[in-house]
Amino acid sequence: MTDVITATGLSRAYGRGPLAVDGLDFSIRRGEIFALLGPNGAGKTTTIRLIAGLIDPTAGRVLVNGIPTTDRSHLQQIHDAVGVLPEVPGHYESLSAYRNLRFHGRLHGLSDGQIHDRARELLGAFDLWERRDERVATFSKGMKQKVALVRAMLHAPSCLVLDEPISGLDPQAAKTVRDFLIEQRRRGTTIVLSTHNLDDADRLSDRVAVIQTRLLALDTPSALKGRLFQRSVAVRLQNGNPAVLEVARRLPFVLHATWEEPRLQVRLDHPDEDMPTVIEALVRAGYRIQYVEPVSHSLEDAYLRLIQERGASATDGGP
Amino acid sequence: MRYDRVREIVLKDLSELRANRSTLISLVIFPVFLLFSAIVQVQAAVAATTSGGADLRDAILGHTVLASSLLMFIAPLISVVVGSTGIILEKTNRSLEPLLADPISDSELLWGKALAPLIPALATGYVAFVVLFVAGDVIAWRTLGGPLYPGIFALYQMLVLMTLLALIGTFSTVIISSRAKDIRGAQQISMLVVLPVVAAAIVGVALAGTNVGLIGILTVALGLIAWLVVRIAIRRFHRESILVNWQ
Repeated sequence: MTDVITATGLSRAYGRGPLAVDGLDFSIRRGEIFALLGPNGAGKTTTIRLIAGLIDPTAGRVLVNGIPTTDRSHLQQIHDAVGVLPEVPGHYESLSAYRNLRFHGRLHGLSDGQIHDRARELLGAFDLWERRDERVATFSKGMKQKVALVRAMLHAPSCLVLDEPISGLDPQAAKTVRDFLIEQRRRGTTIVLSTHNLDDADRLSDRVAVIQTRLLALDTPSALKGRLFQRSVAVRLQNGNPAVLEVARRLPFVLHATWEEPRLQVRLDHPDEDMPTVIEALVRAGYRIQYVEPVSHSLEDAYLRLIQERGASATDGGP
Repeated sequence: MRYDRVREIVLKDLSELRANRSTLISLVIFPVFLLFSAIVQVQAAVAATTSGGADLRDAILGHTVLASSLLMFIAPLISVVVGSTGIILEKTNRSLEPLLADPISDSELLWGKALAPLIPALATGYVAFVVLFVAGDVIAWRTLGGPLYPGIFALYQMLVLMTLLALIGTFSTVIISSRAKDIRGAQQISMLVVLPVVAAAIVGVALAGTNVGLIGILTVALGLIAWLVVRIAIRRFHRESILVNWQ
């Protein structure tokens, strides 16, 4: 896959304040969903703005399809390649949804016919075509968010940059937006999203970048979880007791074992190979096994561990 | 600079203005009031000036300088009201970020935001002058046996002085509004800047009379102020500072 966006040593400060983002390096591949995770004030919105070419970096650079976002002579190519959904939809509330879309469409150089066809297709996907002539001020938050997504997609960009696209939406609207994003990825659109919703990031994204001013981690959600947590397996016992820990700990490949009625939890390097031996040892010791299941860690667990580690290293005077 | 993009920004701002009834009403009431005052003054001047021979027309015109000068307020004040509304609404709607995500340059945004108030301001001002000319001619026709307006001086007030004052009002408002938090604050500060300039211009007109040299100096002075304000607006209007400061 080719890279659509490449950030190199990306840093940005506001005025004389501290760096909002510091030395970010990442590439975003064509057709992937790339999630930016981080606590409030971590620099997610700044990163989104830098990628979208809305602000210039203090140091480093961002390339969109190989063009630096600071290159004003290629303003049209950069903004045509990227569709932006800001944190707040930012509509002209006294105008209709269609008038809003027509304004942005024309600035992108679309003809009225193209705007009509695209608006019909995209608003239709969100069941909003019939309400296109109503003032945006009368719309619910979810409807405004959907119109903002349509606006970002109107000029058919190859990359969507979305700041908190699902934040504050009711479950039904959130599902509609999630399905929309998955459909766009299926069509080959690259999607960069910042979110606080780790479930969404886990479900939607191909790769996640955890940032807290600096880049803390960048990987697929499963690789990130696997990297931070060794694999554990839980065994539910019908006749378990704390003595089962001794049985488990006698096995050399068991890295760690805990007992919490009625579950024995063992951490292993290679559970696929070693678990049959664990089960055999438990049965031989007279324990009756009800079931065995892998212990899964969520992206939230991985995220929280990364943020905690970052906090601890900062307290220790680390980088 | 692409003029079609400037035009789109202007059309969009005017659409928003049309939807904002309270601003529209204030924009109608203010010129109507000034125009009515001006016509009343012309009526009074015509009634009071019964003699003067061949110079009767000039005598009446001399008495109506204030009437036509009043109308010079219209364009700069409308440009302040409309200009500050257009910019502050971008802030309150938080619509600037999606706007800057469109392929528009700083200068296209600046000229769009400047022309959106300038066009209706000048159009309203010119219409008010034309109405004054027609009304003045109707009022004075019986006395003069011919038209009172448009004299060269009234045309100069309309086409040169009011246009320069509108430019000063518009670009001052752009500079001030891009740093203000709300419409009222932007309008108050802009008025504080613009009104003294308009008042000084009217005093200058009264002092200059028909002295071509003084009128030239007044025109050059206003032209320099307008040029300076436009330059400052262009220098300070960068998407970086706009986005960071306009939130």
